[in-house]
Parts: sequence; structure tokens; C-alpha cells
Amino acid sequence: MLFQMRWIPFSLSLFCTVLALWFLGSPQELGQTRLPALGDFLNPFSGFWRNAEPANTRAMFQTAAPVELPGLTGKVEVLYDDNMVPHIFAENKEDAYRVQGYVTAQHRLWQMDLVSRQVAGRLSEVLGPRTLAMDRLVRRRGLTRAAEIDWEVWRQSDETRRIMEAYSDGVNAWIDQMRPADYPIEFKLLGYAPEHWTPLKSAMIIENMIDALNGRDFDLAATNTLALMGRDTFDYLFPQWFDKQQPVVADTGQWTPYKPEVFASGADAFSSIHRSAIPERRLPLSWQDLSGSNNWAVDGRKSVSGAPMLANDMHLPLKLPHVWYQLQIHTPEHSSYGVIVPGVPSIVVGFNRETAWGFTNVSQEVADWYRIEWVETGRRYRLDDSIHSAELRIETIGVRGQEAVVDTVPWTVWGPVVHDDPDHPLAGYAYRYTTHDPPQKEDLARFFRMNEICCYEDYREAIPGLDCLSQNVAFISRSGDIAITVQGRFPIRRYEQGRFLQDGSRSENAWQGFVPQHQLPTMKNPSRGFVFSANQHSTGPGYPYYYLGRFDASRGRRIFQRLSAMDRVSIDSMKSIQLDNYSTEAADALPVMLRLLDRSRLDDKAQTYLQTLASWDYRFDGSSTAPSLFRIWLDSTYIRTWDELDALRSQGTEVLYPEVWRFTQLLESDPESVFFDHKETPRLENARDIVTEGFLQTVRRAQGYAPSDLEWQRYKGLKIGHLSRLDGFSRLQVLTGGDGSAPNATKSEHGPSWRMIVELSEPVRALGIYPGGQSGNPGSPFYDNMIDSWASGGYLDLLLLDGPDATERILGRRTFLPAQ
Amino acid sequence: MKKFFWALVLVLVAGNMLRFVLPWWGIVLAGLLAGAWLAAPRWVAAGAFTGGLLFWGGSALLQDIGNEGILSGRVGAVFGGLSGSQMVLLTAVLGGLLALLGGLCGAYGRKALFPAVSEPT
Repeated sequence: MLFQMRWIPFSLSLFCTVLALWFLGSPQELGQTRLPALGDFLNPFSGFWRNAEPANTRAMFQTAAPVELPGLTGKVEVLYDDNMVPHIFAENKEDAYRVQGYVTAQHRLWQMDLVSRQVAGRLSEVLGPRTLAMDRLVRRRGLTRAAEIDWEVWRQSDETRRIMEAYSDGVNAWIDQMRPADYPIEFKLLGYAPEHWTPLKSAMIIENMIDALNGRDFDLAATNTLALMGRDTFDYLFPQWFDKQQPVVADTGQWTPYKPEVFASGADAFSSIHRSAIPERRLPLSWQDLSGSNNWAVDGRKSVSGAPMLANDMHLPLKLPHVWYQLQIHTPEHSSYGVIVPGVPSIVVGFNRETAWGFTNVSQEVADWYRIEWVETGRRYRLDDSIHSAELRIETIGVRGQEAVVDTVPWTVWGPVVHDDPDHPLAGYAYRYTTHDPPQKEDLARFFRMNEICCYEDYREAIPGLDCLSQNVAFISRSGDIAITVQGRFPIRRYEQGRFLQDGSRSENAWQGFVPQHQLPTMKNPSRGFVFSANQHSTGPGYPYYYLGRFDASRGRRIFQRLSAMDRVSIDSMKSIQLDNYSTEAADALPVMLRLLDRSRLDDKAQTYLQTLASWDYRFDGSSTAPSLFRIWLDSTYIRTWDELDALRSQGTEVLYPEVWRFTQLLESDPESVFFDHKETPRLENARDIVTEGFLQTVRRAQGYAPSDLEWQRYKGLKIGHLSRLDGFSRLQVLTGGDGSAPNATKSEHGPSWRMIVELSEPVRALGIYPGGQSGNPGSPFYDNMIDSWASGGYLDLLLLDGPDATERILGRRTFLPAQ
Repeated sequence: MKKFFWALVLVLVAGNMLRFVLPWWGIVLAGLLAGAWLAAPRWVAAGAFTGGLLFWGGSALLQDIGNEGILSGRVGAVFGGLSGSQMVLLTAVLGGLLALLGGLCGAYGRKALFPAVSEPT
């Protein structure tokens, strides 16, 4: 009967319709791209079109009704200024943090979700098997457990618990009022729904901050390199001190009363080589993006206005949505402004009417690796004279579209066994990391109180709350104090302990303790009138505790030079230092390379490039060509020199590469050194040959570029990528100058994520900017609105409002009321 | 000819009511209702397509204009280099196709199930 004529068109239409419904109703894989269900996504009433915010923001605010927020005890008014910064006016702290959760979630919910999933090892739940390796690694490194322990301890403090829960409830109030059409676009694209927030997720984000800043170590590379080169060559290439730098806290004889413990003599570093079957594909260590920052404070005697001034710019990977979020919190007791990490209550870096503070990274290593003597691999191991059983932690990792993966991680007394792949050079090693240890229960409360500090004593009382987040904390107070402290949990080690892999079968190789608070380097009101830090060495060689870690050798020198030469510091002078493109690295290296260059081997074309370089002022200005030529030349020369190390790396042996400052010293003082011989050629090269070959190669490479593409800002090509890695949501080719070796440390995906200058005059003057926008929604006019201004060195005036009646530069307001 | 306009109007009206209660495929249902009511497949197809095109395209366009094209350009880039206007067009055409398919099902379905009742086109 169905084959009667009249059924055929119907069957055909029905078939086509069902096909269309199926195709448009489910996510599709088209080659590499995963498309969401297109029917949902393109539906103008619930899909991505709903995320297209009206550009007329003022009108949007006028129609906004008051929000009833459960748990609120009083009325809270939020004013949004013309940069979409919320200014929260509350009657008490808890109400303020509750609303902070709500307004942050409103702008940055997906970012908060993604970052908390990163540390929780729960990316694969929503992104599928492609993130499984990342999830396994973060859990095996112990970060997930560290966050769980953090919250277990912190919640025992009443104050902390109330703040974290209020914040979390605020976030959830926002989530609960959303319908699927209101979800942020990334949820729609990736095809999952937001889940409720918890204080544990805030702890995850804090752990992410700690690990991103302090999680690096080079123990494996150092051990291999020492074993391959022998002690003399190793020490020759990798000295631990560079005498041109100024440390954060200078030696003034203050260390004499410090009596660190006398250490028993311990085992030597392992004289063995650890090869990996997996060749490393990372760049040589000298080029790795280490997160650093600059900060400095100038006291009233040195400033034009007579008021102390502080500057801070934190260098981080530059992404969209931006890593920071600005806001103001105002209660009857305190009013502070600064940047926050979305997902964590309180203000991280900022100021109030009495004080200002800022952070830079301490470059000390706080993680070590211990070789375990397994009696039964992954289960039982020897420590001194007894056999211990490893505690087994079962990690269950959900994977979208598949069965969950179960991973068993052995935890030894040292820490977790991170690598279980037998081909990995660190297979079976335990990982001892300061963040694995439980915090003090009042730590987070103290950290939250940073934004309320009024004076030097408050500052000293609050900073231990950073626990193992190792930061150089700069400080100014209206009463005239300036200070800086190298704050963190630093293991007390014997000389060179922890620089290499260690023997985990002897308990004497454990850390001897942690540097006590009163012996952490600190400086207050120095006679020179300023304090500063730029990730350089914490102290001079006289400090009794062993400093293990890399350090910046370039930015700090320039900042010190500029501050020393100034005696009437103004806001403009502070700006000129933050935006300073001058590189002491280039100023050291280029003259040496020019002297070594054999000019007789250069043709006319090469001579023009030489002329450009010879007349360069060492500034990495965006429109200049010389910086690109310099970088290509330095890279070529460096890579040609360390060809032996490259050969090792390609065979799977991770090794250290000498720092650029050491390389420059070798060029200058030891040009006949055997290191300059290029192994692949039969003749014996020296520095002159390598430098000249490098230059010839630079000329060849430069000729392959159109002249405008050789401009430093184009050659470097700053990319501010979206967290999902979608180019469409990213800002590609942002044109700006700067270099990792200059105070303006803008690189190709990394740079000053927040530039802030504060002057504690009457009234407080503050400027700030970051390369991004307050809203995480690519459909918002405030998604990336500050990038261009930041790129050209602009700053915005930051508003520390007195009350909710302000009208100037205010776009709109939103009122929050206690729920009835 | 009248059926063309009726199909268009029915899709717009039904679509605008169903969108509050149904997901994206509500537009298919709107087309289905128009087709079942009017039972003239060719006019219904044309009318439903145009109605769906105007409905989805119009809504997308309004939101795009209010947004000054910020988002459509970015999403277009994610969709393999389409422009913002092309995203509006894509949305409009999709709405039209979905309504058309629903309309055909409705029209041919009525003709198949109730051949005596259907009027000649």
C-alpha cells in the first residue's frame, strides 16, 4: 500500500526531514573540527545569537531590575564604570564577597569552569580523550590532592569558610538564573552545561595560580648535564651567580644573626644519565617562557608629589578571556581596588586609600625529585632500614564519550610517583613539592585580608598567608613606609641539594625544614629611597640559606639603573620604566658580537644590515628592524654553539643550556673555547667564526622577509589566544614592542598582564590596564577593548569611588537585595 | 498564490509561538502545521521557506545589528572564515530549509493520508 503514488513524496520529505533533524541535532566531526549541534547553535532564540550583547550597554542597565540574592544580609549596590569594572558597595564583607561571586560569574563563568577543571583533572569529562594525558598528569603531580587538602584545612577557619561559601553561593545564584539560551558561548560550542560552583573549585584555581608561577624545576636536565660534562665544565657553564645583577634584598650585614642548622654531609648527586625514549620537543631552556614580573616602590623623598608610589606589572601568558578581572570592593570599613583571579574571592594585587601592594615571582625552585628504591614497583619501597608501603590513591577520570579511566597513583613519604611510563627518564621517581603540604588554617583568611591592610604591620601580618605562593611582595603606605619581602615557603637545603635528582632511599636527603618567616629576606625604607624586584636573585651571596633557581639577569638591572638615576619620580616616569624597551642583554651581547664579526666576509647587502645593527640603541621598539636582526643573529650564534647539546636532546636526553648572560661572557672572555667548535664541520671554529657564520645566516634569513615583516612588532607577532585555542576568538598579530629582556617584557604569547601605577597622594591616583576586556563573552564590546590601548602604551585612570552615588564615567548600576 | 502568503504567515506566527516552548526544531513543526493546513506542496514549500528565512534571518539580523556585528564576525571566523553577514545568511537559509522540509512533510502527508479532502493546487 505504501508504494502507491501518493505516499512517495511524503516518504521522501519525511526521510529528508529526519535526516536533517539528525544531522543538525547532533555534534559533527568535520575533519579536525568538532562542530556543535548546528540546529541548536544557529537557532536565533537559544543559540550563539543570544550571546550577541547589545552594544548600547547603558540602555541594558536602565531596564535591569534589582536582583534578589539568597543569603544577602543587606542591600548591595554595584556601579559599572565605562570600562565595565564593577564597584561593589556593601554593608559588610560577606555580602560583598557574595556579590563578587555573582558579578564575576556573570562575565567569566566559562573561564572559571575551565581553569578549575584543569587542576581537578576533569577536562576530559567535557572535552573527550584528547585531554586525557593532561588530566592524568595534573592528578599524578599531586595538584588535585593539594587543592583538596587546602580546602579541608582552610575551612576550619570560620572567617575563611564564610567568605568562600558566600562567594560560591553568589556564583551559583548567577548560574541558577540562567536558562540554556543564556549560557556563555563556549558552553554552547563545546556542548556541555555549567555545573554548580563550590569552595573546592576556588581552591583548585588557587593551586593553578601557585603551580603556574612556581612549579618549574630543572633537576633532570641538571643531573644529565653534570653526568655528561663532569664537575669542572658544568660549573664553568652554569655558575649560580651573576655579579651584574642587584638582588631583591641587598646584603647589608643583616644576615649575621641568622644561624641555619648545621647539616650532616649527604649523598652526592647522581652520576648517571637519564635518557628518555620520548625526545623533548621544547625549546632550549633559555627561551622558555618563565612567568616573571616587575615591581618597585618609591618613597616620598624621591617622588615629585612627596607621596610614595608603587608600580607592578605581572608577566603571564596572555589569553582571552583575560587572566585578571578588575573590581572595587567597598564596605564601611575598607575600600579597595585591584585585580582578582576569577573564581577566587578578594583582591590579589591592588590598593586602598592607605596602602598599595604588588607581586613578582620568586624564581626559586620549590620541587625536587627523589629516586625510589622499589622492593615491589609502585607498592613497596625502601627508606633507610625499613620497607614502606606506598599509599595508593585511585584517580577516576571521566572521559566524554567513553568509559572512565582509572589511574592508580602511588604516594610515597616523599610524594607521588608522577611518571609510570617505563620509558620516561623519571619513571618511578617521587615528586616532593611544597604545595603538597597542608597549609595553616588561617593562611587564606590572611591572604583575603591583604586588601584591608592599612600599615606596614598589617602587611607583615598578612603576607605569610601566601603560604607556598612564592612572591616578592612590594608595599607602600600613606604614612611613608616602603618595603619588599621575599615571601614563600622555601625548603632549607644543603648547598646544591635539590639542584639534581636525589636518592630517596635515605631520609637524610629530605629538606631540613623551611626558612622561618623572620629570616625571609626583607627590606624596609632603604636609604636609596626605592625597592624593586624583577625575578632576580633574592639576595646576595652572603645569605646563609642556599638559593636554588634561575633568575632574571636583564630587566632588573635596567630598572635599578633607571630608578637610581631618578630623583623626582612622577607617574610619567613610572610609566616610562614599565614601557621601557631597553635591553641590558642586548647592550651586553651586541658590542661583543660586533667586535668578533669578521667584516671581510660581508658583501654590500650584509653591510647594510650591519649598519642597522651597529647604530641600534638596544631598544626593542615595535617599528624598528634592528631588534629582529639582533634576535635572529643571537639565536643563530647560540644554536650553532650548542650543537652538542642539541644532539643530546634529539637523542632523548634532557640537558641544561647555558644562560644568555653566561654565553655573552664566554664570547667575550673565552672566544677560543672548544664550545665554539661546530662539530659537524672538519675545521676547528672559534667564537669569531661562529658569530660570523651566524651573521651570514641572519642576512640570508632576513632577505626572505618583506621589509615591513622584519619590523620587530611584526616579526615577534604577539598572539593573544582564546583559551579554547579558536583563532576566531583570538587576537592575532597584536602590534607592540618590548622583549623578555626589557622591562616591557612583551613576548610573542606572554607579557605584562596587568600594568598598575599607584600614588598615595590625596586623593589616591591610580592607573592601570590589561590586554583584554572585562567580559569573557566574544559577543561583548568589552571582550578585548583594552588591547589596542595597552599595545600602544596607554593607561586608564582607575576609579576608587567613595560611594554608590557617583555618576561620572558610570555606565549603569545594579541593585542586590536580600531574598524575601 | 494566496497559499504562498498563508504559508509564510503561518510559519511566522506558529514559529513565534513555538519558539518559547520548543527547541530549534520548532520551526520544522511550524512548517508542518502550515503544510498540513494548506496542503499545496509547491506553494507551501515556497511560502514556508520564505517564512522560515524571514523568521530566523530577521531575528539574527536584529541581534547582529544591535551587537554591531561583533560576535557574528568572530563566530564566522570559527566556522571556516565566513563573514558576519554570511552567518546571518546561513542562519536565515537554515531556518528557511527547516520550515520548507516541515512544510513538505505536512503537505504531502495530508495529501497521502486524506487524498479526497485535499484541494487541487
